Amino acid sequence: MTFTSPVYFLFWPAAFLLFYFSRDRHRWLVLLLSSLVFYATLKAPSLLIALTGVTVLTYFSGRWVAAAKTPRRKSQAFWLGVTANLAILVGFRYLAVLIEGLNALSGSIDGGRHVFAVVEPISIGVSYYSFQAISYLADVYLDVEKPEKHFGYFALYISFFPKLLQGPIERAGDLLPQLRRPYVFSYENMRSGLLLFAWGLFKKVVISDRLALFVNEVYGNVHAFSGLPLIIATYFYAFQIYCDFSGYTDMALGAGRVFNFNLTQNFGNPYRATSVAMFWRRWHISFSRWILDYIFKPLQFRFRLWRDWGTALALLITFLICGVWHGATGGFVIWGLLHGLYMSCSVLYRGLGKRFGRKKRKPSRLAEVWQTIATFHLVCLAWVFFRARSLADAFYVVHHSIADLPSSFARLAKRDALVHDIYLNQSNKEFFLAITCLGLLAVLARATTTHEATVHAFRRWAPIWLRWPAYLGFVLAMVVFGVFYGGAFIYFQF
Amino acid sequence: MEKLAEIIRTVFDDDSVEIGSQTMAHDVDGWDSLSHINLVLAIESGFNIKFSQKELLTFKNVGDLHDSINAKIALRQNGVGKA
Amino acid sequence: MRRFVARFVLFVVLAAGMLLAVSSVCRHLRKRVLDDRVFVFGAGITTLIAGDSHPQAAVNPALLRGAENICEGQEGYFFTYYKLKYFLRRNPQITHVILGFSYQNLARRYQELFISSEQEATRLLGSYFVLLDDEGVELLRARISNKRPYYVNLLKFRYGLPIQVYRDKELLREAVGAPLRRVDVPFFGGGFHKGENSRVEGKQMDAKVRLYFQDENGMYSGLSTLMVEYLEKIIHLCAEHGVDLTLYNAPLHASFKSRIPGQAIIDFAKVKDDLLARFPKVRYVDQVDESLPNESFGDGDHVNSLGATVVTGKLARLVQLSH
Repeated sequence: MTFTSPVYFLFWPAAFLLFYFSRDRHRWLVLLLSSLVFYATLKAPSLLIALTGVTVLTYFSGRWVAAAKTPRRKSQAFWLGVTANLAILVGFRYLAVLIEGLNALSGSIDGGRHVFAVVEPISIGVSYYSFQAISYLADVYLDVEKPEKHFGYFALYISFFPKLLQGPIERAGDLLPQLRRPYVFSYENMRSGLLLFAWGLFKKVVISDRLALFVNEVYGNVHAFSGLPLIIATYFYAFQIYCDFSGYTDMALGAGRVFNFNLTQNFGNPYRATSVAMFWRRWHISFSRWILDYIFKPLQFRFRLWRDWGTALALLITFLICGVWHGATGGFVIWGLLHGLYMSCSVLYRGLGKRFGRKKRKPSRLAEVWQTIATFHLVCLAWVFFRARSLADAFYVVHHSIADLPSSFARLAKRDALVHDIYLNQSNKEFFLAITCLGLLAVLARATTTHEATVHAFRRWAPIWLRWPAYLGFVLAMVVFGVFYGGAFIYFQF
Repeated sequence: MEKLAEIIRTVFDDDSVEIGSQTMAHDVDGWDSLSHINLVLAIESGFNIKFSQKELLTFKNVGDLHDSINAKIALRQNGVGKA
Repeated sequence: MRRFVARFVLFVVLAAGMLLAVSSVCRHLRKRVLDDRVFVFGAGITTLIAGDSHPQAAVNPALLRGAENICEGQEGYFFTYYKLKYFLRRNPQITHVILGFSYQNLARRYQELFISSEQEATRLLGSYFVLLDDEGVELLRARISNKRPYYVNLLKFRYGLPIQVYRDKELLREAVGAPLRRVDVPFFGGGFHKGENSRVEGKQMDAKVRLYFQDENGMYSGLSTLMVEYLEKIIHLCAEHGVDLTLYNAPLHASFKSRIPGQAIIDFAKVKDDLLARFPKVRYVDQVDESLPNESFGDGDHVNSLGATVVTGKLARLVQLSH
């Protein structure tokens, strides 16, 4: 099951009731068993094996690292744990892709991976909790955290169901202490958890899946389009993936919050960033912090004698790995490399600027707007490679969206092909709804940094006789405007 | 401390910023994980010491940095550590 | 905790009540649209013209006594069957059905696209859900790997949940009391199609023949036993309601007919002979080789309004439905 499966709405209250009515010392067991059941409903026993493998191996490695008498033994234990986790990750994630690739070669399909194919249930979640396990080991190795001795709490730390399938990737210092806290019923947490979950659901079912109708139409057959529709579809995709993933995150946070656990926020208005570096501080935060701390920083330290060039190289490698983590195909690799390129160029440019003695000025309003727009477009360019079905498709989109722009404007001026070029072959009602959704997002983006803060603000500001009708209206809006044939979560496949 | 503050001001190109032992990275404009390494290098060459990666992770504010620098200088003066 | 549970339960009850109320209204409106607007014709209508785009273009109901054209482009016998089921039940005054019956109606690949393509099956499940019975729904559902479209359509059409209700123009118009427009109902069809142009082109006819009769490898795709099955169901349906059935083969341009694979014509003849032998009350009218000038054809396999006038007149005399 996932957060949008109907059965989840029975599972969640059931898990909560069991949790509530158990004694404190049994609560971890209730949650652990619920999480295993949650994972098991995906009907892929190999996944449970992966989860068990990661949990057991990391638990023991952690204890060995801490107990090691010599630095050498310590390092051995650490690398043993890390390698085991990486082996499980590679085995589950890339073996499937490799086999698929071999099949594709022999069946002579066009070598690209179908991003929206039926999700192979072989690897959901593995990328996330194996990375989380590695972060735990690193923290123990660097003496930042003490190893968790209680196997139950450790297992729960790895497998807690709200964050099991798509993260956030929780640091030991953030989640482990929370698991041990005795549970005290908090009305506030129940309320904000449920509201946050509902909001995430809305973003997924109403906004993201609606935008997907347009995006799939174009990216499913790019050669049928040229010029403006390619650009529109790419913009829509930028918001589709944002709403999809941040919607999932809100649901995860909400699901965890009713048990009084605060998971880390994964997003913070990423498209308002004025630089790609800032974008990565606001997008998939738990993941970018992971690659920052465990890949970038060590690399940067190793290359530090090359100064800015060392940093640039470290960035390129880090984002290359970031791309590959998302998928082993050309599209993801180029996506990663593009971001690496963006970041390295900005580092080198900053360094150059300093050399020529440019004084740092606070950017003007206009400059900020320009930077935001430019950053958004750089990110969108990278999204093209992320989403396109193949490299050939991606290059087609990049080339023809610009080259054919004048001719598509000409068509528009003659009121030709409105349905094809603007509405992307969908009903005009759906198009206006999509635009309305984007408008809603824009308004919210101006209001607060996270959507959660917006929800809080609404609750503080509005009296109860206004709030409840608003909530009921919200439920009705989800039923009326929901797109229920929508696909699985995008970040599921990572 | 004064020398450390001077190095910080030079690296981040900001003569006006106040550096105290409680100052943290986000208090100084431009001090982020990308440029942090430049500060580390400047400190290493300015005080003739070397940091290990483990140590870098433990510094939470300028005060921690300062204490570590002092400790390393003391170690060197006692004949241990790098010249 | 108690306070929370109380409020939570209260909210759920209110939300459920709200949805129930809205759903009842939607269900009621839908029923009214179907029963009173879409399916009910005036007492003077005694003949229905049903089928796909061929009779849609060829038979002008204005030239027949008491006739209504309910054809829909690309509609196969599977869907026509369910449509007729409803129309005949709600209109006991109907005495005659003229059903399009031509070579492409039995071509396997073209007619079975609705179940061979998951996308088509999903789309049509939504459009025709209100008409289908359990057997029909099952046929489509079996072709769709995703379980959701079935449940969503079930919730929407049988239980009235207002899912994507803003797209149901016929419902919205009913709610504000505006008259029904034929084009708003997904399965109702555009009625008689008055073709104004005339473009008989070799390349276009080749493409059409490929679309109708060939499979992916360019071979004749064969006969659709599914379509024959539903054609027989239509025959039984008409017999049940005591309605005369005329199977009507609309005119085709000579160069179009010459492009049709010979086996397709043989298969068609076999089915026709078999049906006419088993059901002697069914009439067959063949106007395929009607010699019409090029200007009377909209394209290779459809007449335009000029041609329709000619052939409908003849048809009317043949089935004794002239004014």
